[in-house]
Amino acid sequence: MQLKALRAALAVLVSAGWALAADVAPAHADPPKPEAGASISFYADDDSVTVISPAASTTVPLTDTVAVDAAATLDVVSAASIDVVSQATPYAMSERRVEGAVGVTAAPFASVPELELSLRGIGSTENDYDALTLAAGARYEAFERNTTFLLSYGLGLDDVGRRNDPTFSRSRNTHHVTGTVTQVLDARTVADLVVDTSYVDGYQASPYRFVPIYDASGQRAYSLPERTPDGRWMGSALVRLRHAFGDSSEVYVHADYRFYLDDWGVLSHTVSVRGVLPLADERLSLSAAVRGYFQRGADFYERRYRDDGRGAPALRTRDRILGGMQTLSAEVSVLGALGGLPRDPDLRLFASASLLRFTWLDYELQAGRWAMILTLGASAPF
Amino acid sequence: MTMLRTSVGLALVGLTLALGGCAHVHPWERETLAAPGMQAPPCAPVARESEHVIAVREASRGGTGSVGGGCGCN
Repeated sequence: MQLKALRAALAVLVSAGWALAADVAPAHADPPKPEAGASISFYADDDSVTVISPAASTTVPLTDTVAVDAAATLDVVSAASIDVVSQATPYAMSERRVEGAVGVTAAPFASVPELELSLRGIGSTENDYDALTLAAGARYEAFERNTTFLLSYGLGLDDVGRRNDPTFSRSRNTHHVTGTVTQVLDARTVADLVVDTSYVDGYQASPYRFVPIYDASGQRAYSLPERTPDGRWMGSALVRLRHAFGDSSEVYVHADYRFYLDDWGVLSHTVSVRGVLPLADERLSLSAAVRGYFQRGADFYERRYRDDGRGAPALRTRDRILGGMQTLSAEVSVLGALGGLPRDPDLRLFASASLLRFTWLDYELQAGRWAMILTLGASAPF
Repeated sequence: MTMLRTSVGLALVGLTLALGGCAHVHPWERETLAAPGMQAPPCAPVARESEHVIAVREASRGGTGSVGGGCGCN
């Protein structure tokens, strides 16, 4: 019900975007080119989960100050993971998730060309989960475009269901505010600061996860549905430095650090470093990145929950990602530009391969998981 | 949490004021800054896919500057 009402809101948002587009300055004699792209990603891990994700997107400038964009993604998921088969009803699953997004970006005030506004709607549906996100943002370039500010707000409205149970429906709402400052430090260096905070309100457990409760002797006594707090404040801050090394042939290096904290007690540090090496007059780029993620678990997370005669803990989860964990990953990408100018080609091609190692420090059923992601794609003006 | 939010807010304001006085780079000096390799991320579709995979496998959220829609994590 909630989602139907919001689909109508999404339609209004899109209409408003088109109306805004039609009301702004007349078309430029030589407007920016429209562009379209497509990609396919393949995810697989050693826990029998595979996901194939074809995606397509397009951006169409309507005038020199207004552009609309749209994107669609399909996730085809199949899993016989230990996470799935350890639930109350063991089975392997296969399902599809469809996501669509539309957005409009405009510089609506001729007297303030440095200000750009955007509206975006993103919806997704699968057999047991529907989601809708509405977002609005403002981008302002100051100090002769040496500093860029970006402020955005997103409202997420999700409906959580349960397979083969039409009576099960829970809502989960998210408010998300992000502030970004990008500063040119010199002709070869840029710094970014991204600060965001979210509040999630509603059902945040899994309807499929049951938590075994052990008695004082260590024997498994019974199981209860997972239960987590209904509210969750989250905050994070990311600092990124981008620098070009070398004179005639540059190597670009990006270094990131993110700090995250929430009121469930989860705290994490994320570091990543990326190097980009352009070749053949920038028609080819090799990009390599490594990332490390180190997480302290939620306060209520336990490896085993016990009932010593006074009842089971009110908050309990078997979600391994709420415990202490680490992720180490490496990615290698190749980007190519064909035809036209190196920075304005007729066709862009990209291919990427990532290897990830997830390690759960306090999860009874599994110690870790290896995963890989392969992505291929292309984009072109039309 | 209140202290954290206040600290982050003060850091943001302080950094903004400090950055406003940074070295001034003119448009004709920005060829390197405009290079594809300087953009974050260098390839948006690849970054989007990685973020989507990671978002449902780690408990932390945010800091990427992007807004997602639906997690597929049920």
